[in-house]
Amino acid sequence: MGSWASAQEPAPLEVRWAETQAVAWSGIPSSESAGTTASFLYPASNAGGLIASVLTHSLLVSGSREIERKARQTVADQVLEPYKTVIDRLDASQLTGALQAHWATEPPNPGSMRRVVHLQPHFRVSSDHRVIVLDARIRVQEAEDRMAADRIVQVVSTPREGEDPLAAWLDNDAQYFREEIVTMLIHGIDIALNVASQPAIAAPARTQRYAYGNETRMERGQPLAAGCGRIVLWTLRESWMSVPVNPSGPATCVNRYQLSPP
Amino acid sequence: MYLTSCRAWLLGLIVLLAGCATPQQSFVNLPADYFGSGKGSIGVASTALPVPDTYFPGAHCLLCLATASMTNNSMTTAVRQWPTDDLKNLKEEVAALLRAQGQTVVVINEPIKVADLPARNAPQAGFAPKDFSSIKAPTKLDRLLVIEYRSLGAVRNYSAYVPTGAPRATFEAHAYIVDLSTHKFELYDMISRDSLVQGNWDESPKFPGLTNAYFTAIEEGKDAIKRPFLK
Repeated sequence: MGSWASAQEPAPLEVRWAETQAVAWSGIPSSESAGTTASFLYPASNAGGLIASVLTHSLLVSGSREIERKARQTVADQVLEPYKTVIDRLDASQLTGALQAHWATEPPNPGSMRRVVHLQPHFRVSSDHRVIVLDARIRVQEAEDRMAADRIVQVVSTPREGEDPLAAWLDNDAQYFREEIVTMLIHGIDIALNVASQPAIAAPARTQRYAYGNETRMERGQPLAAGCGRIVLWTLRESWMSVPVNPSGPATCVNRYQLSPP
Repeated sequence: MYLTSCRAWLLGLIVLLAGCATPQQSFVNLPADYFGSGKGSIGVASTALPVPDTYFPGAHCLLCLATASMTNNSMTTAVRQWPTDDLKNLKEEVAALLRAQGQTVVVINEPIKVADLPARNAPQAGFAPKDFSSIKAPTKLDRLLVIEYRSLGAVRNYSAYVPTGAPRATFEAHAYIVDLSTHKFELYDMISRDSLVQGNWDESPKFPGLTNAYFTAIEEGKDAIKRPFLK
């Protein structure tokens, strides 16, 4: 495993993956419906009958909602079909190689402390192919028995523009898709290593608007870091969320996942 | 006893017909040239901000409502602590938009109680049912933009005793401009924004997903109120 003792040179960053299903994939389903209101007459002649009727009604409703939820997820997962070949190749070893190749030119690990990053990523693709969301549990280990950070990091991709985002993703042996996945993973690890290690900033919470494909969504949180086209929020769920925003000023961003130094 | 029963039926019929006779207000859009027509000063006022609360439509019977309230007790506790700070500057934001349109604007800081204003005689559709003269006299304003908050909080649909879906955040308000001389509505907008929870909603005790939906509903509601005044 190697020594945890400090070294003269910046220590390597070791990546480890969850033992079961290192990289998870799914589609993003439509939101659960709010249900309807309806009067309901319970056929009961006494209190016991009423309770039994209510329990039966409850089981029927919750059962149908669960069936509906599974059906929505099954439909949503169909978005992954065109990406199947690419996803099968994007396994833990491929991603580790891509990460290490990136870090060979841009070392991620300031200082001389050796760190191990435990990754458990889950990539989700929207039905219109314009958004990829990474939900990753990232744990940063600094010693045999010390975890410097153990948080959920969510990264919303920069929206894929154009008339046919699927074709754009899959063009040239899905080069852009593979690059986006690796970039989002690097960005998530960057947040866990750098933003996570900063003390909590007492910035007032605000409702941040961000681009989600062709939509505008909102997330309440405290801004912790920013880049040319991105803001990292500390959300109400006490996790990090990196969202794309319009860059301030007329200049375009060279790298929309690059965070400014604190 | 027969006469008493007849009187009860007659009274009920009168109440029903009176309700039907009250004109229902529909949307009134601002004319395209509204801000270029030199209409005098405009005040911006609002009713008091409501305390966020939970609502359970469909739980019609008293026992249904009690059951729904009891089973959602932790959610209600969280909802009632939601802040309304994001709405406190809405009047100033609307005033700024009106000033950008060249209007002379006065912000009325104190909340107004529209329900307590006297009713006007013979209300008509397109005209305010309440008499705003008591506001016109001291302020000398020509028009009044009112943001009337209706409800704020979370809604969960029920079928009697059984919830039929996840709760969603809600924001409802009416925004209107009334000509203080004629009491005619120059704008009438009914804003209703529901925001669904992204992901799991049942995260007691703080319900962060539902709270996030609440702030989203507020922002969307504010956008809707301000939209007619954008350049």
